[in-house]
Amino acid sequence: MGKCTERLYNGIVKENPTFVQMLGMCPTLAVTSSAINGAGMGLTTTCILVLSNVAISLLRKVIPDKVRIPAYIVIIASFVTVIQFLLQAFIPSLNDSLGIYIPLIVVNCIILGRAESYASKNKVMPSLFDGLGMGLGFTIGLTVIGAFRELIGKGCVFNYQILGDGNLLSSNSNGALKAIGDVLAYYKPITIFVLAPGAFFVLAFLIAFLNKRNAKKAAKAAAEGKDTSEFCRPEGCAGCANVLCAGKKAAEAQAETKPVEQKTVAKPVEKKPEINTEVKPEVKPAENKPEAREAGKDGEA
Amino acid sequence: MEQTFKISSSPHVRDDGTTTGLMADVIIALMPATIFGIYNFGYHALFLVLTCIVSCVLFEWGCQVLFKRKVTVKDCSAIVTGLLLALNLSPDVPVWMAILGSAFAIVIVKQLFGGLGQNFMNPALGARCFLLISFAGQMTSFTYDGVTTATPLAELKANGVSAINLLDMFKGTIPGTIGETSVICILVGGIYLIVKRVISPVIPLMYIGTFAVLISVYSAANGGFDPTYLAAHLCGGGLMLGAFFMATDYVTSPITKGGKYIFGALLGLLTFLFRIFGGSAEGVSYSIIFANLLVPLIEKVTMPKSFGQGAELLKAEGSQAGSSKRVDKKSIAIAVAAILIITCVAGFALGYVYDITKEPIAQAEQNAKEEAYKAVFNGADSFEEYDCSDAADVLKAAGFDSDVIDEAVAAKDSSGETVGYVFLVTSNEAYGGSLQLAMGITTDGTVNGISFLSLSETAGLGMEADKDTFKEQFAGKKVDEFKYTKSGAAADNEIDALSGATITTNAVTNAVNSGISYFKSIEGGNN
Repeated sequence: MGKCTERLYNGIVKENPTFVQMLGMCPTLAVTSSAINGAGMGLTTTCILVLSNVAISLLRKVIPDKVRIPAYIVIIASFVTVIQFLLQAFIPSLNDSLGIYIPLIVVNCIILGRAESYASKNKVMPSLFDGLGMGLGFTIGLTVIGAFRELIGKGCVFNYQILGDGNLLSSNSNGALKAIGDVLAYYKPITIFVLAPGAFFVLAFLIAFLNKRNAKKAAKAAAEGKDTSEFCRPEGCAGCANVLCAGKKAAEAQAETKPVEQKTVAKPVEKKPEINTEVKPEVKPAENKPEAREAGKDGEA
Repeated sequence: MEQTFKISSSPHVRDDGTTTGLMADVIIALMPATIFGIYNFGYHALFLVLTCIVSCVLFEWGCQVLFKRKVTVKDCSAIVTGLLLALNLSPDVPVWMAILGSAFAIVIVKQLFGGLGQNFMNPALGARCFLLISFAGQMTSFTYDGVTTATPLAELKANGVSAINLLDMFKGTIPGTIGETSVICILVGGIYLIVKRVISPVIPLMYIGTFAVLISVYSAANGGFDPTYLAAHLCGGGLMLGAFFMATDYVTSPITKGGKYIFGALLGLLTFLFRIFGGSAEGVSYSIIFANLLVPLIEKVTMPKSFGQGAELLKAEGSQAGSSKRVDKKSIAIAVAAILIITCVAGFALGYVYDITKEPIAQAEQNAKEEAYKAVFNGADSFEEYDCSDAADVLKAAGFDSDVIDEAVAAKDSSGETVGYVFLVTSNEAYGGSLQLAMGITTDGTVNGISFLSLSETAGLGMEADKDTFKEQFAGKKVDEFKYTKSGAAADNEIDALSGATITTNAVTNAVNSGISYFKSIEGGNN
């Protein structure tokens, strides 16, 4: 994988800002009341993320370390304002539906996080693709959450009525399809899902589902003695807080059996440090290890 | 050496009471209220109670099997949850709603957080609030003796003490949720629990006491203390059921003694605020789940310190002194220069973009307005600015404090004759801040139509105002003033309120009314 495609994959799947890094939760919870709002917010953020990553990567040797955060904020805020002017001028309808959340992109921690942890340390092209990958990952996350909330809370997806009264199947087709549509028409929208609490429910279930799936894959990989960092957080099992993860248990079990074999060779005095080093080989030290930690530290802006 | 004593971790004092025994006591205590509820509301109530209990038990069993946990259905806690949920439902709700509520209570609130003892809020109340928010219409519609009526608490809020009968409220022969109506039955159960020492009286007494004091102060401040008003608030709604059976839930109330006092007082305060200043008449369930969330904090503050620890904790806090850093003047100068340059470049860039987008933005806004004018006045040929500088005074005199007429245009037909007006009205009392709408009104005072220029309400509730079915209610009507109603519009001047979005409906109706009143002042002046 080339560096640029690796960045895209990293942003969309491996370190997805919404489902893995849990960054930018404020817009994630606030604007995802419908799929189209989520997609609009995600794409707007992507534009700004790409622009700010490129600008900050270009200026990475000029900005003094001490004032880097204010400098980043000024750059990001300028891009946000520019985008808002452009939206107001040329796509007023999107501007109306996103409303207050466009100015709030300034304090979206994904953008500051990528600036701090990636763009300020890497060349322009990888930074551009890093911004694009993270932005698309965020867009996908927001759109999926929005689609689920819209479906459960209003019976629509992208404003097309799927469930409940007057759904597309029951009004636009006949025969067996109409019968299915008539059954779907019995659905009563659960309004709480388009309100704030619904965002928490949907986000929690999606993350639980993805974690379960990753844990299974990781357990399988660990059982075959393969690298598990693919499915988990970049810090690997050693830094992972999920004690229930089957992959982690498998990795630990392997780490415990290995020292037993080596104990006969090694001196008994070095027993303790040895166990610590034995955990690591299970996880290939990811190349972006320090940055991912920093991104986590930045937290919600 | 042989050990003659047994080493074990706490608790060291043991009792032969079991969870099952406690739960059985709670069920016994709830029986008077349940039986009265079934007598009061009929067989459907009995059916709902049974549905909730059975589905709660089944969901608990299913979850525990699915999560490979120990199956603890026998401890009866799911039965209590189901029973409490049923007592908190309106007797009219459909059966699927009761099942959905049970699923939410057991699966999401209880089992996903770890099962009995781990739930962060009362499962039954969590489910009630879930249903109340999702299906506001059905959860707050109460049929009593075959007639849909308002609860006494809603009557009290709308029409004052004259509208209620205290004795009925005490006996329970009033509309309400299945288990909340009869104060006497709940008191019997509550006293049973206190006598059996299942619950401590601290939380209910603090809760009801604080609430009573606040209501008395409020009523004294508003035209003199009225004992009927106080009694009606105490007997009405879910206060008694909540105070004795839900606020005292072991898992979600503080374990410290001081914490119990704070918790009770907090509940009283919240219920007072919700009932008096909130949009709805009742607020007990929201108060309790909100206070449930604060319990970890309350416990942290009131946790007794072990002997001798207090002083050490204080010392540890005091010793965190900041260390001073040396300041390097040169690096500061560079930093200042860099920030200055970046800010200047950004400023110029912004100025440039502003300059090139200024025209298109103005154009887009103009287009939006024109479209809105057309939408509310499609018969007109052209629109001409109308001086509306006197509108502020007119609206103030008419009592529309939160509405502003931003702009007015006169609609002309092809011969240049004025056929009506379009007003742009901003209302500042909408749920999501402010909304702006355009309304067309013909010269004879008929509202031609309304359309929204900006509306940022809750999707699915307030945003429904933008649907044609709502907007068309105003079109083609010639009235002095619109009113909104929740029980089906009958007269020409009545508007069906959006379900779950009374505040939005109110804002829109008032905005239209302010336009009508300004129109009258124009026409009055012209004649």
